[in-house]
Amino acid sequence: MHLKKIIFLRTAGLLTLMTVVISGFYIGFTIERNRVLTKNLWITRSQLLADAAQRLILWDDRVAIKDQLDREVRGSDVLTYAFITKDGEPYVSTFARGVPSALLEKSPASEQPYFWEFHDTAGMVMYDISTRIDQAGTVLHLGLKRRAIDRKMVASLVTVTVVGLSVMLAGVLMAFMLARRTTREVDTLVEALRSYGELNEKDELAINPKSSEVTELVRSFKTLTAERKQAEQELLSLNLQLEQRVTERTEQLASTNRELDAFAYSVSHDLRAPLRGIDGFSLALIDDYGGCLNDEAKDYLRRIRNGCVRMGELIDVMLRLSRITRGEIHRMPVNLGEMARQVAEELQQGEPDRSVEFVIHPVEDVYADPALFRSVLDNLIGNAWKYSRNNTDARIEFGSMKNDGETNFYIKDNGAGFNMEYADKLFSPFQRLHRSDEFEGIGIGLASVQRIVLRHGGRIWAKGDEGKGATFFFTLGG
Amino acid sequence: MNEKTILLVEDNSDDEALTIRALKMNNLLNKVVVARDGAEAVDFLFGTGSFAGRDSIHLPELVLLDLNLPKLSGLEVLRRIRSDEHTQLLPVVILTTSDEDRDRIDSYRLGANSYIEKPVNFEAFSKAVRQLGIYWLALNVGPPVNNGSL
Repeated sequence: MHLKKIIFLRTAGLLTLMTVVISGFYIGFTIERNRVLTKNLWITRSQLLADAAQRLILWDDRVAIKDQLDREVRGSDVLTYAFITKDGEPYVSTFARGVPSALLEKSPASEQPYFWEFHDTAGMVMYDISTRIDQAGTVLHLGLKRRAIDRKMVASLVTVTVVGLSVMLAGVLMAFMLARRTTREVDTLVEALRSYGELNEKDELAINPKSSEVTELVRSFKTLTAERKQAEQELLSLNLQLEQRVTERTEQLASTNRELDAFAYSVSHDLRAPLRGIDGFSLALIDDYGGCLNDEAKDYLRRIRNGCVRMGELIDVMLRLSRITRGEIHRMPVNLGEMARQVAEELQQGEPDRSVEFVIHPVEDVYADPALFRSVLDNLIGNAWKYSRNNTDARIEFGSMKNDGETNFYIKDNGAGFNMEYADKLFSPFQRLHRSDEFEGIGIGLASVQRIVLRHGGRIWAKGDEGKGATFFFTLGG
Repeated sequence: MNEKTILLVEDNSDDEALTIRALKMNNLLNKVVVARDGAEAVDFLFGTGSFAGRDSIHLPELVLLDLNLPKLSGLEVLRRIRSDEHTQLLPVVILTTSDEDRDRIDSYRLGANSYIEKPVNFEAFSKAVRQLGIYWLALNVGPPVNNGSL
């Protein structure tokens, strides 16, 4: 809400409330005082009337008393009845149809007039003033109507209300002016700040603050503006630096990548050529000079050649691994269950003599590079196949499960398994948990699998138990 | 120069010896001319440089071209062969250690007739040389020789 409106509403509310409360008190006080004054007046009059009546009672002149009482009632706006009782019996009355019995019982205890209040049959509040006339218990009753007493105040109450309303109106007007005057500086300040969020000199002159708060506010804003400008400047220069750094880093990265490419290319080309020489000339030795060599020498040459073949293989897999890291990923919808079935079929065809139970559960499609994930499944299912070959009732299971809203794919076997102590070594390149004479391999499969999964934004981990089997889990990132 | 000549472009003398040995072992007894870098290969084909004065009308039957060469790269040699009217139909077989996709793509794009990866294992290499020799020197019918009257 606007500050002006808040000040206006609060001030106007307060003034109105005060006016209403004061007027209310005044009205209440006026009415009450009028009642008391009227009461006292009639108590005095009742004593005068009682004195007057005493003489007439001595003469037993009821007509004169009735006449006097009737005159009193007629001559007054507030007096509605008057009567006299002797020994608790009505003597003279202005009531047309006799005095109500409840009123007859009321009798003052002392010489002083007695005042009491009651409701008449119509529910109106009545005052009754009873005054002793003589020692014999003759009592004069005067009945006053409260509403009639109050009605005499109407004119003065109207005046009070009119004055109160005028004061309220004046208060509202004053509140409005006060609100406007008080907020004018703030409004100007806000207006000046609205478009740019900062103060210029012209705006500052226009505000011309009178209150110390607004002066302080203007000063704060000037300081803030200066600070902000400086911060902006710093941010700008920081951004520029950052951009420059990003450009440099990108360039460095690109250069590193180019070096890596060149390195891989060089490995591919230059490392193999000498190997071919070693292998080729070793064979040439055997072929051309085999006659001059004894069996031991031929065995050495054979070992040299085996070394060449193995090193050739190592170079090949290293290159393959580096290509996984460098190449682009082409994602499309892939059903890994269908792919797993193909891999299983091919493994089975490759070794038809083995009997392995494949359990492949249906899984939902994923968005991944099909060629790379074919390699993942080739490796994982291929491993399961390889490491369960000593098990006569081998079983390989592929499926998925939901874990914290994430799909975990798994490949489970009941083969050789592994010791969980070495679980962290599983995915390092050229790390093996089995000797080559137990299970062949060079330790690159799981490293490649991990790279592919990581490059898809996923995770891979394994659980195993030596001699009981292994389970590999992987996820694909969003 | 009626004999079917092979131009072997190879900078590595080991590979040169092994290739020649593999050819011999497979009874491919053609004359082999060796160029040890890309520039020499181009000079031989176009009769320039150290081969100035060579009768460049007679082209070899087959070029075995390595990619990683000093001076001019194999791909550059291939590009020059294909951009000259006289040599553009010459059968060129890339014989290389590289198994980079990029090299294969570039070679075929520049018009290589074949792309053979040299295996590390000599027996496999020898087998590859035999097959390519039989195919390109015996089985394949090359472009007509027109004695320079193109």
